[in-house]
Amino acid sequence: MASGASNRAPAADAADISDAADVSAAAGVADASDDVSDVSDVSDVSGEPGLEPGLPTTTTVALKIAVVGPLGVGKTTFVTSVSDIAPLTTEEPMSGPAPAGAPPTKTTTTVAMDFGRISLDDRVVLYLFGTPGQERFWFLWDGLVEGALGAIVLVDVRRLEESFDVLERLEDRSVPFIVAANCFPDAPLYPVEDLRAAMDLPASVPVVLCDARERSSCRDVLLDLSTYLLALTHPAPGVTPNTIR
Amino acid sequence: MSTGSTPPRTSWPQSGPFRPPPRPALPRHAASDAAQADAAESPAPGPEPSAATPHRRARLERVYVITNGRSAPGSDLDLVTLIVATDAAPPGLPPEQATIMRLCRRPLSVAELSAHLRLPFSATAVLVGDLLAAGLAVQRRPVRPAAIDHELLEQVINGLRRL
Repeated sequence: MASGASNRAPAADAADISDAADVSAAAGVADASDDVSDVSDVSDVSGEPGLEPGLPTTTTVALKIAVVGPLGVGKTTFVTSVSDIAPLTTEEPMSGPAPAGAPPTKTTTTVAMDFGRISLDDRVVLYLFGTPGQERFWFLWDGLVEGALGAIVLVDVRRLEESFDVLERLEDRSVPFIVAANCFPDAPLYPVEDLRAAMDLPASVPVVLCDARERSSCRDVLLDLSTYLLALTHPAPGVTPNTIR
Repeated sequence: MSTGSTPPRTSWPQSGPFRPPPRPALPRHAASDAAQADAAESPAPGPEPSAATPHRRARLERVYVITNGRSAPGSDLDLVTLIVATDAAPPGLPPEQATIMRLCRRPLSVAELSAHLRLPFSATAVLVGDLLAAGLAVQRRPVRPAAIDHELLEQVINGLRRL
């Protein structure tokens, strides 16, 4: 994650870009849980009594999956729906020139990633990281996508084009991914094959519909990704990993 | 960025039942810029950046003293490297590191430590790295991609099915 300032895009505006900050702009999805990334109320954590957030001592395998998409697409909602724990936020200051209109003393913007975890059994824990898809946040990806099991690209069918950069980024980095269209209540429903065509995705890449507010729906998306990854380890005839061109 | 075998994603398909909202066909990067502009101009951009409370600034300054301004030098700690304390925190440990050791009586990822400490991941990695170097904690490294095999994926699938 902290791989050097040279990878860091300059802050283009002063807005807090955590997924929580903008969800109210995404039409109509009830999403109160996205408030979790407001971390401005800092308490002295060393004084918190009885906090036992740890995993079972038998846990030896930690996996991670990136949930990638543009602001307001429902990444934090997705993570919240399937996580065993209340979603957490990890932050990183993003260095850069002061954004236009910001106080001259402000030279960094805080970038936040919301994440959750699922204990799959007594040995394996799966972490889900909601990650902004915009180019200026790609320095975050160095610590996230490297070594990830795979990625879920969460898209809003009303603004698919906002995910094009993300798709190419994942393809370039050979990160296996599936695409999940978050079905906002007021968005039109399209056949997945039409979505696939609009995103120029090969037939091998799963494109699924989901409701990020529903735990079972998000679980199914994770299963779709895992099943796809399993197929990649034993490619069937005619199945080409999306990461190989 | 395009690898040549697929056409660039610059416009919507012109035929078929799919009827996207009307948008100008922008070059890929222009479309991205427009998306960013949309995000920046959205009517409810959310709270101001959260950096500013004096309490937090003081804490951060103290941590940067502890870390001598290092930012995870040569650290191989991943977001999901699990950290486990080897013992109780010895007296005299800086409060953040004592907190890490308390939180890590059972395994916990560096990302979670960062969240619970409300410190940047890079600063957390430095504090954890010092504990590892001192033998006060051990790490359980995340699975590398090469080790993600059939058996592990089936374990993941079985675990997800139980949810």
